[in-house]
Amino acid sequence: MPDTRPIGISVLSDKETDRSRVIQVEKGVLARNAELAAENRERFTGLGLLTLNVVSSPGSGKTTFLAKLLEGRRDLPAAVIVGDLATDRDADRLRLTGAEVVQITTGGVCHLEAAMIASAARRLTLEGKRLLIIENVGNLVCPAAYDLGEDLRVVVLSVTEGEDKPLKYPRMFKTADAVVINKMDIAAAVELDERALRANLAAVCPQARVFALSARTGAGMEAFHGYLEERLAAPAAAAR
Amino acid sequence: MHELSVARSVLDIALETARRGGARRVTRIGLRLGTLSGVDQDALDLAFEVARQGTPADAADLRVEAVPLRCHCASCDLDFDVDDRHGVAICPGCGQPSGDIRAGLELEVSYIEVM
Repeated sequence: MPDTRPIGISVLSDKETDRSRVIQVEKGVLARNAELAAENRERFTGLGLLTLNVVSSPGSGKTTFLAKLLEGRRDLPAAVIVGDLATDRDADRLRLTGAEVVQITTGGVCHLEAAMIASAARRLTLEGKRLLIIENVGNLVCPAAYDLGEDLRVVVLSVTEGEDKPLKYPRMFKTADAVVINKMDIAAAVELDERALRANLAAVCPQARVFALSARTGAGMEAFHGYLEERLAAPAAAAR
Repeated sequence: MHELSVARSVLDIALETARRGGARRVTRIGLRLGTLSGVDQDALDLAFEVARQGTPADAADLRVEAVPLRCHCASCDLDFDVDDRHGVAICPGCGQPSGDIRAGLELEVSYIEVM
């Protein structure tokens, strides 16, 4: 609006209007994501799905773990949303298990957001499915801050990553429902101190169920299958 | 984290609030940042310097209120602050670790100062 006040009194009045004031906001920076995640959760729960958000560092064997998990439950109608920086190789590997798979290529974005999941879910036939797995981008920092609408957050770490990993990524581990210690078949070769790793997990994330296994050999997978079965049977409201 | 996109979101919220409030300029943005927000404050300050350029908040300063991690112990029915930066939350009552987070994940704009 043009200032039409006469020269002379404007100095005083400008000071008056220039006096700063405070506006209360109280708005989460990721509020939009939280809203969309809540919508996803409502939709997925309404369809009777158990939704897993699977996160890890790059190279933890996350895709091998998921392929093994799905191979062991070919009876269970499942869908997978795979987030990857650039390639669609993970999606191809998971498709071999019979699950319906869609790929989100983030083009360098370091995490998945609830909006990407909503849009990927529209490309899937979720009716009649029981399990929805979201394979997040390999990164333990950014994905920790983004709720996708999942029931369970599963962190996969491999024995090569060091016993103190949970201490380095406290948010991811503290918000995990389950932790998978993968590549146990090479634990001796990399001199894993399993007691130290478990002690760190117990200190940072006592709420998380811990599964030590080898997705490659299949050893220890049955315990995770049992966990999955237990969560599938749990009422949706108690899943988280 | 991706501090530049966080800085842009903070600015979007501040500028939209200012516009609706009929303000011309934003002079300060108050931000609540939890210990486990995942945002690095130095990186955010730097990103904010870049993001604010050419906006009505180009001289605004970012005032960060750090929110400590706060956990709950179910057996003692106690909330307690955690100062361990690795997120190890030991209940002062019983010495058991807790994974029940009550505060410390915040990443929110609490207020803006405008003219």
